Amino acid sequence: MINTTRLSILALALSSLAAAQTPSVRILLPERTRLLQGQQFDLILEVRNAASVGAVKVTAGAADLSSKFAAPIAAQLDCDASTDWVLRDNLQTFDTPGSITLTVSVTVGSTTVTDTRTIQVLDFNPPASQRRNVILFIGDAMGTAYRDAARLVSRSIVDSNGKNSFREGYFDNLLEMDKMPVSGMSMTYGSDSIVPDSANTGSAWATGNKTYLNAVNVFTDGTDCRWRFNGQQNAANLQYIQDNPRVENLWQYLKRRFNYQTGIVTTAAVTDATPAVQGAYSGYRQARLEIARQYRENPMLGGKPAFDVILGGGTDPFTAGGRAGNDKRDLIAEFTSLGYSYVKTATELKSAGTGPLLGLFKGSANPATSSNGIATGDVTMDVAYDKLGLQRPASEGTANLGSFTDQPMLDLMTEKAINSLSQGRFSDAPFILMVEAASIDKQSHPNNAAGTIWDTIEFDKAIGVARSWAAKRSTKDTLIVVTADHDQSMSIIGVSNVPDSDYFNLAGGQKISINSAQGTQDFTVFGDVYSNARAGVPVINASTGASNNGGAPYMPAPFKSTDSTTAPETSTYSTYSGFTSYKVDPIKGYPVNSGTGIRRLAVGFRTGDHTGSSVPVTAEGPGALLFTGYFDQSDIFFKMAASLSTDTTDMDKALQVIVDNTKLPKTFGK
Amino acid sequence: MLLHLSIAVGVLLAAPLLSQTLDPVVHNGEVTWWSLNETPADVNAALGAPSQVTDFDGYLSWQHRLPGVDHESDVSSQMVFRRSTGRLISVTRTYESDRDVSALFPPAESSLHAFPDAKHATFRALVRRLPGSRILIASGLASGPGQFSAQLVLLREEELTHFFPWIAESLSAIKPGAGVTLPIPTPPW
Repeated sequence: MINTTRLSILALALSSLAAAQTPSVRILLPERTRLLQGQQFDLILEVRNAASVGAVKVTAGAADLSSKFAAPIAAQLDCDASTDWVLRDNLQTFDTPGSITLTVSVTVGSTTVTDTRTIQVLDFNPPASQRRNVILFIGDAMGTAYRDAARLVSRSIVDSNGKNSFREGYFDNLLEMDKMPVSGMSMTYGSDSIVPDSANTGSAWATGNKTYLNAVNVFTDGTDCRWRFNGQQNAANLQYIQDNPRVENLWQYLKRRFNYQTGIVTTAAVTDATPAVQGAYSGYRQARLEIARQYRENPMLGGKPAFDVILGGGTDPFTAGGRAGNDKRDLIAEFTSLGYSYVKTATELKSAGTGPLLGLFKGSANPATSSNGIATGDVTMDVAYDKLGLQRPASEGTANLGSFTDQPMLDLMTEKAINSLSQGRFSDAPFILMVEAASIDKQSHPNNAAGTIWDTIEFDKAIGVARSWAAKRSTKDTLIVVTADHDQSMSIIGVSNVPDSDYFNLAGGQKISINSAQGTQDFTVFGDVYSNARAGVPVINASTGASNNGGAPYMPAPFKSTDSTTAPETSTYSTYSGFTSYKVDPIKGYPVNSGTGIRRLAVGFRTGDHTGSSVPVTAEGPGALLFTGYFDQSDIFFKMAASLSTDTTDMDKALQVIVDNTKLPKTFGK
Repeated sequence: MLLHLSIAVGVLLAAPLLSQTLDPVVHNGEVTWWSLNETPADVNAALGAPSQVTDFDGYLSWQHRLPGVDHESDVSSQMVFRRSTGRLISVTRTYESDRDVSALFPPAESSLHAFPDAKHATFRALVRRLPGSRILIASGLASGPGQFSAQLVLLREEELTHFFPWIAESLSAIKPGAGVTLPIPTPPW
């Protein structure tokens, strides 16, 4: 008797085999590709399952692009045994705005295979009299809770008379980023997942297009499997990491076409993903040596440097020692030979001039060659907490600046970058600058709440520098946008003055009991217990039976509740009630996180990783009104471009009417 | 030397890991690790649910993180399945820093491969054929003495030409069981 199920499976397998061997052609552009007119991109075709490639015809509307393609190159796509081909037309542009239908037909033997895309090309023609600046602030992982935490810590300051600047639920003085008049929300999904990373989110705002995790301004291609299967960024894989279709970012686009000055400022290594999307193109964010090389000789700029200002950490990929396993080039020497000033400390930065500037404040000139490949160590600048010399909470390890004891704060770096990019050249060369607070994210991964929050406060001070600079200009010509690349899992829990020892001494796996409204509940400590400023309760209710007493299994445990019989200020356990109150260090200008008489913010972390939640956007300056509403992260690219190329007079006036009208409601502290 | 090798194996294997299957074990010169015949259910039973699953070009990559060790895209372990067949084709174990892998690669059974060639090498891989048509690769070896690597890859031999064509080409000239003389590990590691 014939088993019909087996026959069905066999038929399915055979049909799959046949489908797998059918010739096909694919245009390596996403379905919803959007470009600015004149924005460069690589137009690449992949032909699969073809012994040879015959006639190739590529049209974009009425234009025939066929002759622009180089000869087909034999390739092994998808890491399988089929015979495949790749055809490239590098750095193509569409110069006329509108909807363009891209059509490809390829003859394979006696068959013709086709593919099509509809590309949206948007207008970009700045009025001759309109030369505007853009400063984009990226708080890495700065979701709403992170902004809230910075506000609740830095804007709840008790003065010498005992008056708290945060009273009755209102603030006397909001964050700098809160004071910006326009707000929106940005959806951060990548092309391959709802929880993105810093590379593909950065690619979205930098190029206007979505891509996959780890990608720096490129789309996926058929050779990604060569390195994605094990995450290697070695020399043997470099050709497959660097062959993806590139899309020009706004920084190179503006420099190439309109002579903009360009800059990046970050507290990460300058080759980290967030700064990299402003100046490099790579299938894999960890190709640090290649990213550094592209800063020096950018492919979109005919080999000229990507930036006029680079400030941050990560010396290693720029030195001959750091590139010992690669090309041994001394990129720092190459930059200085081109007229860049090179600084290594805050002191040197303060005295730097206004010309091209390279500042690398953390890292080794001769790092260990342990990776022996493309990447060298990720050398992030130290967190604000440590740069300020504040005492870390017991849960967050010991500060160790090593030999890098003179690192600049982010506000100084921002001030020097703006001065360098703007002074003496403004009439013919406006600028675009990205400023990143990297350790909001990097401190959130290990759930270091204080590190995260104080870096957000440092970030806000940098925003204040830019707002103040822009406000003083006679022409309101600078758009300032503040947002995050993605969210992380911190949430605001309440207020706590629980002693460190009550939570910090719990170890992963330890069983504890807590008296709650449901009665006595048994919990298992989930990993280490972290705090902010205190707290954070990754304590999981692991019990499911009678001992649970009605509590939901596997849900975080409650904080110990407020002792209502005692004044909150003196209660041991006051979480969930009252307001934060901090003192400020009068010299450093930051809240202090230790000593008596303060009530600390309590935060929790559900994970140590990114989330798929949308992130806030605030904007100020010409075209800021474009940033209102709920929109996709890739829209930020087009909104920034529109603010530069569109006459925004009417919308700017409308916004100003709202801001200036004293009869309209105003938020306290704004 | 035997003492040194023992220490090396101990260092390689002693860390508190998700499971013993996370790292290869050397016993009497034989490597015990994944057979590559494991199903997704087997992997799940051994390592738990992956932290992340990525889907690319016909493959599924199960990525496991070690708490407190991994950051963002760098993961401790990647198990790759071919989606069309469900077969496990490779296991990659990535470490935070280089470690001595000499014990896994006895000279008589191993060969050293260079990319793009021995004279201009910018990348190296130490390769050993294992029973069951499996290939063990330690990649990114430093050019100095000792066999140091931060990444081990276990791969079906039939897949070598797809993922490491430069190794496949040079390995084809070496008969199974044969090896090349390798530098002797030098402490400290």
